Amino acid sequence: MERVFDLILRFRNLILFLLLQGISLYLIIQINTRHNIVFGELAQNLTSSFQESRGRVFAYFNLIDENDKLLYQIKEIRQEYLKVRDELSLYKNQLPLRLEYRLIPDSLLPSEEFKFIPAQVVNNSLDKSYNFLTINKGYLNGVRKGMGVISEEGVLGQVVSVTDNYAMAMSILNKNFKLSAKIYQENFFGSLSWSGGSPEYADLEYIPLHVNIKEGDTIVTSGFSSIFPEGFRVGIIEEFEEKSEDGFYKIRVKLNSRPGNAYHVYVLSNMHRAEIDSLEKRISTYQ
Amino acid sequence: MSRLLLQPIYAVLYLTLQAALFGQMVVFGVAIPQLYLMFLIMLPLQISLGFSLLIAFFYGLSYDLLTQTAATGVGSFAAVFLIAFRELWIQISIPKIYYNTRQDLELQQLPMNQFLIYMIPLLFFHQLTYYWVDSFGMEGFGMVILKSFAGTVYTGILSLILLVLFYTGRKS
Repeated sequence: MERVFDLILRFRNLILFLLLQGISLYLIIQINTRHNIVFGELAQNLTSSFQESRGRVFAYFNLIDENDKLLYQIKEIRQEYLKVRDELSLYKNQLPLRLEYRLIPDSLLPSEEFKFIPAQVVNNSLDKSYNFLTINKGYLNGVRKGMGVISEEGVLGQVVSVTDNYAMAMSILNKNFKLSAKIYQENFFGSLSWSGGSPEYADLEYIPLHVNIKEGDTIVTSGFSSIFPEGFRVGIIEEFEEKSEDGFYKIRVKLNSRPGNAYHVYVLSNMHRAEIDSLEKRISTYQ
Repeated sequence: MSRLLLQPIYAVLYLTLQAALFGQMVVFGVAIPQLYLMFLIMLPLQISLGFSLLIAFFYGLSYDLLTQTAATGVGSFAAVFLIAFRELWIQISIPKIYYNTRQDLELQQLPMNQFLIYMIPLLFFHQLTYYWVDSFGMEGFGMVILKSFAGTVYTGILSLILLVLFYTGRKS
């Protein structure tokens, strides 16, 4: 304590000098705005540049930690990736049920038979017996007569008329529309049509009585036509009855797609359509 | 001893004259005579350094408050610096033949040329500090130098006149 006191006594003039200069500076900065501003800026600059340099130095010393963290993150991501890849391959096996998966643009699935042309519905009818929908893609976009139209939810219809920029499709809610569909779980196929009435339901015919079906079974496209690929979801069995007179079920299907809500749709362009048609034409000459 | 007692009167006199007269004698807008500094320059060395520093602080602060020529605190800052620097400067500029210890030194007894060697750098140093702190980096350094130089020359000339008029009995 005495030493401290001695020290203070020894440097009393210096301490006094610094104290007085400190008070003067304090007065200068506190009382005078101009000095205040300048000093504020100066102090800020000093502090920020100091902090910046300190940050750099600390960042350097933290590199090892950062590396560990990054390595850990890479490990996590890799594990996640493997998990997702496994899941994906699992889903791939259930592909017919995963419409969304099939809706990946063709550039990502180069071997796909079908090309998807995105379009928007510009006109749509629901209340008639023969309903149609108009889409904003036409001949110039590659849309051709006979192509299928789907939404993310399911089948919507088939193109019946094409202009340069627009196309008109026969809706699934059209009494003339026939769709080759099958019961996914049983792999038996029949013909799906709409008989008017509620836009939510359609009928599936020609499923033989020996097939074991139950309510809730999934109906998907059969893939027998070149219009829709196999496995697009159409709907589920709402109810059914056995019609013993002709040996078939009368199945009421709750449609998956809701044409009334459809806005973003895809036109399905079968890359092998011409080939299939020519082949079928050749066969028909023998009939 | 009586001379020490006179110091407060000197201080008041210098400050009053500075505020009323010298402060008004600005030339070209840059040269401001700060004759009140003569009080600090001539402050007897019999007064201890610590006390001198305190005197300088309050003297400078009084000048600031009285004249408002610069920001409050600038005068006191420069004045305290002047006294601190004077302590060093005496040892450098005044040969030992004029004094044995600090207390022995009688500034009035110095020959004129020796006194000028002592005074002019002190003045310039003060002016430099004063204008530099006052500008606080806002003005160019050239302006600070110009003002300091002009102030030193102007104050120096006026103080010489004052010295010749009032301080007699100097050794030649």
